[in-house]
Amino acid sequence: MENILEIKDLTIQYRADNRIVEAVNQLNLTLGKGESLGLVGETGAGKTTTALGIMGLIPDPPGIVTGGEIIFEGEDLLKQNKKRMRSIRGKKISMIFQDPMTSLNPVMTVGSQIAESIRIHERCSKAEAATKATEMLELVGIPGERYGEYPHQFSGGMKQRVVIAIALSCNPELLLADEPTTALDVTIQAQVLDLIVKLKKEKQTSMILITHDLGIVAEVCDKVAIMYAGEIVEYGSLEQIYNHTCHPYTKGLFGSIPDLDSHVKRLSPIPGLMPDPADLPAGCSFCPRCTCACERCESENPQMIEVETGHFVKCFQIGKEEEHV
Amino acid sequence: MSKYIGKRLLMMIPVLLGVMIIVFTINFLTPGDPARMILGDGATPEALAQVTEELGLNDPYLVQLGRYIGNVVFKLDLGESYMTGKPVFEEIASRFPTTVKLAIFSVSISVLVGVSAGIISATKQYSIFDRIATSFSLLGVSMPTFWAGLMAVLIFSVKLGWLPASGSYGPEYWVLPSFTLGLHSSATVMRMTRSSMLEVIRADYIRTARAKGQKEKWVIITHALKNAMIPVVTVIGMQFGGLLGGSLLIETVFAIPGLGKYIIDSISTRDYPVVQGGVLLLAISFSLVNLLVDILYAYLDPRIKSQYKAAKKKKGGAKNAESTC
Repeated sequence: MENILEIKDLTIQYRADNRIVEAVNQLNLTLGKGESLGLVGETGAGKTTTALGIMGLIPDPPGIVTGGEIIFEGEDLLKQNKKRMRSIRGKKISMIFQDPMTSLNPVMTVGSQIAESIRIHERCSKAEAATKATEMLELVGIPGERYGEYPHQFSGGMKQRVVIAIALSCNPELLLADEPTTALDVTIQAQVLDLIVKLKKEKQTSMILITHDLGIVAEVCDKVAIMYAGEIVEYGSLEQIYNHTCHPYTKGLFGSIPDLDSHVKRLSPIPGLMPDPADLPAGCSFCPRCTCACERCESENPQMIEVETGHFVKCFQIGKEEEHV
Repeated sequence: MSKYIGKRLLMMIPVLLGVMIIVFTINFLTPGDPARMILGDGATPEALAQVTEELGLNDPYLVQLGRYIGNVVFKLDLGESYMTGKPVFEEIASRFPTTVKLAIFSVSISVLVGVSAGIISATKQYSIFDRIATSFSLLGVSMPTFWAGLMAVLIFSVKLGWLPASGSYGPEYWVLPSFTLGLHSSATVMRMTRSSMLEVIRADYIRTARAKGQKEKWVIITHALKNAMIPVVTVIGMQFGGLLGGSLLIETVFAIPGLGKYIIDSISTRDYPVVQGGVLLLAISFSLVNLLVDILYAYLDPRIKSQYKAAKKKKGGAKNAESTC
């Protein structure tokens, strides 16, 4: 399958007062056309920073992309000038943000916020953009008459629908959904997620879904990348990650999910906290919390190994187990 | 909205009554004899007694207060100046336009300079322009206007001879006083705009606008500015209200026959009707400017507009509930 997005060795840092926070470290990722990738990890793992990096929206200062390549449809996004990036943002790559409460401009009508995006990328009159924006509203399940209303007149779920309408208004090739359901009620979560999946299928959009909810990933995604301290630690198809879990961190994540069928009284959370990204361990960044860490893990950062076709793991222990076998 | 404005206008009545009572009482308690000020030091005790009686100054406090308020409320009569014998209304009306003119010129300069410098400073935070502008605004805020006025006269009138130093005969006479006042208040407006803008441009909806591929210029103008203007409009309104009361120091420095100077002169000559009338006008203009600012809020922020409407509905709802009971 043709790749729509290829990220190679992406490194993003935040610099402030002599402190360097390594938000994303040597990240590698590929996404095929039409695929959905779930990017899973704890808060602060660098998921949003990666997405903002793809959009070219890392707040600078303090954020700097210090290295790597983001190849989208054959061109390196990091090498494009501002004008070219503006024509890609919103048109070819668009993003759904985490908090619908604050993502919409409170003093503009929702309709005009959708129409704005259409006006920027498609040569059309104001009236045409308004018509299309009304269609988009209806597509996400909001009556067209509400075009002239302001964000404060909508509920959280409705606002997120508006944000989705903005993101999809120009039929993007790639959709970055940054925890699109985190701020919503569980019942609304399902609705919004269904909507995203439906529209994605209709428009043949590739998607990176950022979340920390493995349940959502299982429902929506074809591939999964597990992110920890700015790195991808495990990457593979849905089936590979869920049924042949390899990395100790991924195992820990699954261990933290309550299971109704099992009779275990307590969950088994991962002990400890994520390392301070301004002071990462010399070796494997998961080593301090890992239950099966060895001496080598402390001093040396493991490389990605392909354990089966398309299933990559960044851990020394994996090779070892196979050796034992 | 019109109902809201009507309510606000009605609310002005107690405020103005209060102002009248307080100013009258302070005048009543102020030592000094208007009769002596009118007749001069050489007046005989008989003449003094006669004038005091004619002015009604021998009557008890409540009688004098009642007479004053009665005249103002029922006859719209502010009384006559002790000094000139002309109606106070005429005296003030002949000076008010000068003050209004100066206030409008100064506020226009202040808005033009303050708001634009604030926007540039905020969007290019820590740039050289920002540093220069913030230092100048610190200078402007801390410099007393009369001193700035004197320095301006010294440089532009005395040394360079470009502009007239005092009077109000032609347009060139307005340049120095307007700029002195305008630049002084632009310092406050600039600081307010800068800090408000800085807050807004970090908001999520600004990121959404950028994610649409919008040009930075339009992100600032269409998305950030309207959101950032509310505190700025408040400051501008307060300054305009203050300037309508006459800028005593500047009017004195530049010998402009405005309201501020007239009120102060009248205090020293114990011309009570003029002081009372002047302060009343000041209170009215301040209240009206405040009302204007509140209406502007509703225009800037639809959430405030709907609050005004909600208050109205609530009232209507309460009435309906009463009638059904």
